[in-house]
Amino acid sequence: MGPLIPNGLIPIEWNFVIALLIGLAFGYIMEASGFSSSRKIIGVFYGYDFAVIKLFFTTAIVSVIGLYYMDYLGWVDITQLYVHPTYLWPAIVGGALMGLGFMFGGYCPGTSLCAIGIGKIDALAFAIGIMIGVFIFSESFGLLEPFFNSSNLGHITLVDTFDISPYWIILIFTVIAVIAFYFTDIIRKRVKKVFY
Amino acid sequence: MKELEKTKRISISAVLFLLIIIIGFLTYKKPKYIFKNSAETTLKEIVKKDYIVSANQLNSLNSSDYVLVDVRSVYDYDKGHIKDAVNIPLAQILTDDSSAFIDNMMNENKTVILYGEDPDEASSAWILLYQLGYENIKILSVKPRFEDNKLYVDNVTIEKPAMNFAEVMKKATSSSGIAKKTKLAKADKSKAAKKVIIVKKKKKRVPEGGC
Amino acid sequence: MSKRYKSKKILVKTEYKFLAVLMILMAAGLFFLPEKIDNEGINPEEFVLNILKSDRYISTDQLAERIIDQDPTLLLIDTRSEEEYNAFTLPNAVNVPLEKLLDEDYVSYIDQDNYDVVLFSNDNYFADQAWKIGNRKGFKSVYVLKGGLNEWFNTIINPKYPDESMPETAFKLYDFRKAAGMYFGVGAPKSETKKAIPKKVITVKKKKKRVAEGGC
Repeated sequence: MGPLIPNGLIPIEWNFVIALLIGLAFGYIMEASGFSSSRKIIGVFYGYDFAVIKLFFTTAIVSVIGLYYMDYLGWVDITQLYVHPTYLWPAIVGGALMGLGFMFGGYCPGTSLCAIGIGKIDALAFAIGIMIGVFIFSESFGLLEPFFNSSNLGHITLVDTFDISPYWIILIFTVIAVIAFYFTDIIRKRVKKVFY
Repeated sequence: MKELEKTKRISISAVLFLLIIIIGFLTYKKPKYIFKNSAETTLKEIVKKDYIVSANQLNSLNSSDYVLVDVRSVYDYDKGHIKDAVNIPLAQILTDDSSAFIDNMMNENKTVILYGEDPDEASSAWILLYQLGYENIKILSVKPRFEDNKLYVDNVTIEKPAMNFAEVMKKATSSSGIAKKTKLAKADKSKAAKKVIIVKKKKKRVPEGGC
Repeated sequence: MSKRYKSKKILVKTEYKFLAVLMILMAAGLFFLPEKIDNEGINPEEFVLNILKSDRYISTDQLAERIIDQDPTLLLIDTRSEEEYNAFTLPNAVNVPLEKLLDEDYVSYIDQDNYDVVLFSNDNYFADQAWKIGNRKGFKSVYVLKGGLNEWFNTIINPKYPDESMPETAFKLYDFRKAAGMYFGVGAPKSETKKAIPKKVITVKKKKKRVAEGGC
């Protein structure tokens, strides 16, 4: 059956409507879970709140398990899903840069917009910073381009890299996530409490 | 207390998630008929053409080695059919009885020879059965015809051009060079604009990734 | 929330325990799924329904009319061998020999949404088989020329004059066929008619995966 749009079950013209609906839900849930607070997000670096790690691990696990069950049941064709191509070194450098900005600014791009929505001034400053960064990047793209497109490994996944059954990867990943939840909880309890 | 409510919400959604999957499994129906051979292997087999049996070849076969299957409708079959043929209408190939029969024949190592109204109909049944994984199947290239309460079975040569097309065309075009017609052709020529057709490859639409 | 932990001194709440166990169980559950069976393309039941329908056939008269109207959505595919194609073919037909139907270079002629593809061969046997293979793969808007080139020559190029007893429509059909035959060059010198039918240039683009950009 799925994915719905590539298989033509939903016309492609609906893209923007669906994007709007998903965006609204995404923003609402993000705000509802407190992700519009830079202190909550930044807690992962100081060790008093690991909500971010929990969030990313949980989304990954829930979606991967759900998708594989749905693939088995014939609801979604997993081979048709989009896999972003891996540019190894640019991804590492970009990830490090983003992490730094994350740490200094206290937001990631999505949450900053969410925080602007509830009227936070620092988020506004952060968003302007993003735009300045985008501008600088665009202007210097000619210089960065060779690096930007380097070490393209194609549309690879962990399954291709390790060449083992996806089910093993899912199980190992789930166990790692549960262990991570447990230990982050211990760390959190040892760290001085921060009110936010 | 607020935190407790949140975990409750998480538990509820987790249970819902589980429920959806369980419902999925409960409603999951194993497909009854599976295509075992891909379209590609079937195409290769079609091109080989050794699945086609002519009426003469049929006579030279030992009658205990094969079974004739008539894929025409029950009505046509009742009117008249080749001796010892079994009737499995094309529409009813995917029934328990039919597949049991064909399975039986396969187990007995008998070749199933299909025939229909024309080789096209037989080939429809053949393509279906071959894709379902039955390999010991052939078709009879005949066209049964019913006349004066008697069944005639005409042999058909598949894909035989009825005439030399190029030759006939040449004759037809050069037979009479009427002035009127040449004029017409000339007029056509002047407005014959080159048309460019671009066949687009069907692209897999890929959704954009995001955070 | 840490207040609760301090006062009650439980390490992990039962809800979290439950969730963790649930996730691990579900991940492990994937291993116990029986082997997945799936049909490539359409399933056999649907295939039977499709081959029983005769709406895939297009008559020679319909085809002639569409060629004469220069229907831009029409794409003719000759499924015969290359030699036969070179000797004679219908105007603007593309040669896709049956055995190469699913080759990467040729399949894009059949598997697309922009044209009504009409397959033909000497009779309609090869074309019909090509249609069935394509149907299995789920290709849409593909048709078969009923009777193929034999029928084409019997009706359009060499139409039979109807008997006096036949209804008026038969005569009209005869007139149409005669006129159509003229369009396709009957009775006119070959060199003149050769270019009468606009040539279509058909180019095929190689399949390329679109690189989608994503971002956070």
